[in-house]
Amino acid sequence: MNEPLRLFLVEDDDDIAFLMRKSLERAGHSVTVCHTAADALIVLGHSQFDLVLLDQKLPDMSGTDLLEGFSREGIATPVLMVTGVGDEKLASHVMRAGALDYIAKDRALTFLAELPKRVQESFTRYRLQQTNRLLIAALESANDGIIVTDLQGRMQHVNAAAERLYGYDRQELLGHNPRIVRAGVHSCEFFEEMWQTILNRQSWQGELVNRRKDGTLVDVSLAISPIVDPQGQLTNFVGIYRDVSERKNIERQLFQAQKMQSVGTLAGGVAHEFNNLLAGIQGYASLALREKGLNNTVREFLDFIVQLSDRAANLTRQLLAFARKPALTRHPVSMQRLLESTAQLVQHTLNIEITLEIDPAAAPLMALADANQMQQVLVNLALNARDAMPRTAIKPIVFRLRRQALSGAKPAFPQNVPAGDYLVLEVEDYGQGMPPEILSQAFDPFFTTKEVGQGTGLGLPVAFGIINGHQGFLTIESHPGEGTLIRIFLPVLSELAESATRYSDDAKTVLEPEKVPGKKILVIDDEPAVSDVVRRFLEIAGHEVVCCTSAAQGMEQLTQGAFPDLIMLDLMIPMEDGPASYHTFRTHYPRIPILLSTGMLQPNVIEALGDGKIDILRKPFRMNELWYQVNKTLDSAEAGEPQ
Amino acid sequence: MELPAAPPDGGGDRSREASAERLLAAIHATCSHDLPNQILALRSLIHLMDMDEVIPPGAPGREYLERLGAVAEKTAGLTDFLKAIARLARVVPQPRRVALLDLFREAIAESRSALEADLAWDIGPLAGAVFADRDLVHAGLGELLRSLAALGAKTVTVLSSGTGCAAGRVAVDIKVGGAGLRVAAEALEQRPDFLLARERLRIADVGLTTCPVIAQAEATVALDFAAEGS
Repeated sequence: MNEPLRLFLVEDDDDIAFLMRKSLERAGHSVTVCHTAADALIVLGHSQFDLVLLDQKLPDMSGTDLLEGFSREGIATPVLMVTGVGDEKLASHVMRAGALDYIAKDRALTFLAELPKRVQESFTRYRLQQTNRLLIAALESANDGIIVTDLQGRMQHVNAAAERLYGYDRQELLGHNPRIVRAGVHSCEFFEEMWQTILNRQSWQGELVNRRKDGTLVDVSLAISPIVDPQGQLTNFVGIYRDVSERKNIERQLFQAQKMQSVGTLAGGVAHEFNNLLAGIQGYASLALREKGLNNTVREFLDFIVQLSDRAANLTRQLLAFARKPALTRHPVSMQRLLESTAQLVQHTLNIEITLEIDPAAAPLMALADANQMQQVLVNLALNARDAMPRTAIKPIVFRLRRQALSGAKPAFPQNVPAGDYLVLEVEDYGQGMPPEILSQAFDPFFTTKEVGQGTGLGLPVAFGIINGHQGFLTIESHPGEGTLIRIFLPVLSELAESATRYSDDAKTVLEPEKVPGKKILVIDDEPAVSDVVRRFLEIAGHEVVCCTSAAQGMEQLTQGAFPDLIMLDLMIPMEDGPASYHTFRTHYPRIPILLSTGMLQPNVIEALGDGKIDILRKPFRMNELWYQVNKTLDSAEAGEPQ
Repeated sequence: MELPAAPPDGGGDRSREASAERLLAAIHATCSHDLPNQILALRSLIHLMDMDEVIPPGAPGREYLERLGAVAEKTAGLTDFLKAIARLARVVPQPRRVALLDLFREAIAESRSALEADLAWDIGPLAGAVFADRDLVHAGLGELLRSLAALGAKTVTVLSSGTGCAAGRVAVDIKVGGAGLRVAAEALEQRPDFLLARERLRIADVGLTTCPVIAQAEATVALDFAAEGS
C-alpha cells in the first residue's frame, strides 16, 4: 500500500486533467487541479502539497518558467514535470531547473497506467534526497568531528568540524587513514585493542591525544561505531571526535593541585622525621667533638658529619619550602656571624676557582631573623651568582654588610624600599648579568634558566618570600655582561645586640655553656636519639634532666609531684596533639615555663598554640642554640614574663 | 597546598599547570637525588669511621660514634619513603575500566608475598566496575594492608558498601580484625606506609577514610572509587 499523497496537478487540458486525477485517486492520492500558471502560484503560495505535477504547456506561461517562478516565490514543493513525448532536450532542461523528474504524455494516453507508480517513485526519491540533505546538514552542523571510514580505515567522509579540529582540508584527509593525526603518545597495543573491538562489531570509546596539522596536540574523546548494512555486512566505521582539551586542562590542573597537596603532606611528614634524626646526628657529633684527646683526623671527620647533616637539614627545609610556606622562628642574629658561617658553607659548594669575599660592616649589626632561613637565602643567592659566572672570567662573589638609613623611599626593582633604618646585606657578582626580559621573570616562582635538578637553590621568589616574612625588602639590579647586585634590607635591631652575642650560629664552634645554676628539666620527646642528645647537652650545662617519651608520661611525672623548672616539649609526638598537650601543661602548671621543640613548624600549629609568648626551638638544633633557648626561657620565667 | 608566594609583578604568563609541574619536578629532584645523596654520604662517612676504628673501642668519643651509626641507619630507613614521594611527584595516573573484584583480588595477591604477617582474607561479592589506575591502586592497597598488618590486624574482609557514598562513586569497606589489634585512626595516621597509601590512592582518585576503633578488635577503612562512566 502506497502512502497517500496530496497532489497538485497543473494541466490546462480538462480531459487529460480529469483522466490523470482519476488515475491518481484510484491509487489513493488526493488531487487538486488548476489550469493556469497564475492560479498555481496563488494556490501553492497558500497551501501545502506533497508533489506538483506540472504540464509544460500552459496557456499563460511555460512549465519551465513556472518552475523558476516557484523558486522566486519560495515554493519548495517538489515538481514532477509532464512533457510531450520525444522532447528529451526539454526534459533535461526541466531537471536542471529543479524538477524532480519528468513523465512523457503520449497520444494514446498509455502513460496514465504508469502515472501512480511514477508519482510514488518520484516522491520516494524526493524523500530520500531530503533525508540525505538533512543528514549531510546535520553532519556538517555538528560541533563534533565526524569521520566515516571504510573497513581499512580510509576516510570516506569528513565533516567541517573534523576539518576545524585537525586543521586539514577534507580533501587532504579523504582516502587517508586517521593515523595521519596520531601524536605518537599511545602504544601500538592501544590501537590494536581499538581495532579488535570495532572489527568485532562493538563500539569503542576512549580518550586520546592527536596531533593537528600545525603540529600542536589536541585531547580528543573518540567514539567509534561499526556500520552494518541491511544484509548484516560490516561496511564502514563512524568516529565521533570531540575536542576535550579544555576539560583535560582543567582536569590536569585539578590533578596537579591534588598531587601537590599529597606530595606536600608526605614531604611534611618525612621532614619531621628527618629533622628528628638529624638532631640526633648533629647532637652526637657535637658531643663527640667536645671529647678531649681526639686527633685531628677524627675532628675533621666529625666536622664533616656536622656539615653533611647541616646540608641535609637545609635540603629538608627546602623540601618543606617547596611543599608549603615555611613558618619563621626568629631570634636576634648577628648578621656578621651569619655571613661568615654562610660563607664557610658556601665555599665548600662553590667551584673551587670562585672565591667569596666578605665586606664587613664597621660595627656589629643585629636583626631579628630566622637564622636558618636567612642562611638559605644567602646560600642560594651565592649559588645563583656562581652559576652566572662565565668560566673564562672568574671573579669573586662578594657578601657585603652595612647599615643604611633611608630618609625617603628608595625606588628599586621589584619593589621600592620605604624610609627607615636598615641593615643591608648585599650579594654581588660580576657574572653575565640579566637582560631586562629575564630580570622581569626572575620573580616568577618557577622561572629558571637552569635545568631542574641542577638548581640547588630555592630561587629568588622564595628568597623574596622569606625576606618579606622578616618585614624586609629585596631588590635586584642587573646588567648584561656586568653582573648582578641583590640587596636585602632588614630592620636593624640595635637594642638586643648585647643579649644576642650569647648565641652563635657557628656549627663548629664548641662553646662552653654559660655558668648558670643547674635546673630540673623535663624533656618530652618520642625520638630516643633526640632526648638522649638533649639530656647530654643539658647535663653539660649542669642541669638535671628527666626524659619522657610522651606528654601523657610527662603529665604523670608532674602529678606525682616531681615539678621541674622547665618543660621541653616536642610538638609532634605520635598519637598526641602537640598544641593540646601544651595547653594542658599551661593550664595545670602555669608557673612552669615550656620550651617547645619541633622538626616541622606548621602555620596551623602556631595558630593552635594561641597568642601568648611562645618559645620554640627548631630541630635540628646545635648545642649552643639549645643552651641559649633554655636559658632564655628560664630567664623570662624568672623575670615574671607571662608565657 | 599553597604555592610559594609570587611577588606582585612577577608571574609571567605561564600557566599554573606548568608552574606546578616545575615545582613537582623540583620536589622529585630533592627527594630522589639530593636528600638521599646527603643521607648516603652521612651514613657512609659514619660507617667508614666505624670500620676504620678512627676512634678505637674504649677511646673518648667511641660511644657517640656508635650512637651516630644507629641514628644514621634509622635515617636510611626514610630514604625509601623519600623515593616513594619522588615517584609520586612524577606519577601520571592512567585510569581505565577495571572490575572491582579483580582489582582487590589482584592487589591482595600481589601484596601477600610482601607482608610479614599472615593475614586471613575474605573478599565479599564485589560487583561492577570502577574507573581507576590499576597500578596505583594496587600499590596503595599494598601499603594500606602492610600498615594494618603492622598494627596487629589478623583478618581482612573486603565488603561492598552501599552507604555514605556520593553520586558517581562506589564505596568499599575494608574491615580489619584481630585479637590485640591496636588499630585506631590516630595510630594509622602516624604510619608512613599508611600516609603513603592514602596519598597514593588520593592521586588515583580513590577516597580513603578511617573510622575510629569500633571495638578493641575491629576497625574499618572506607574506600570510594570513581564509578565507571562517572
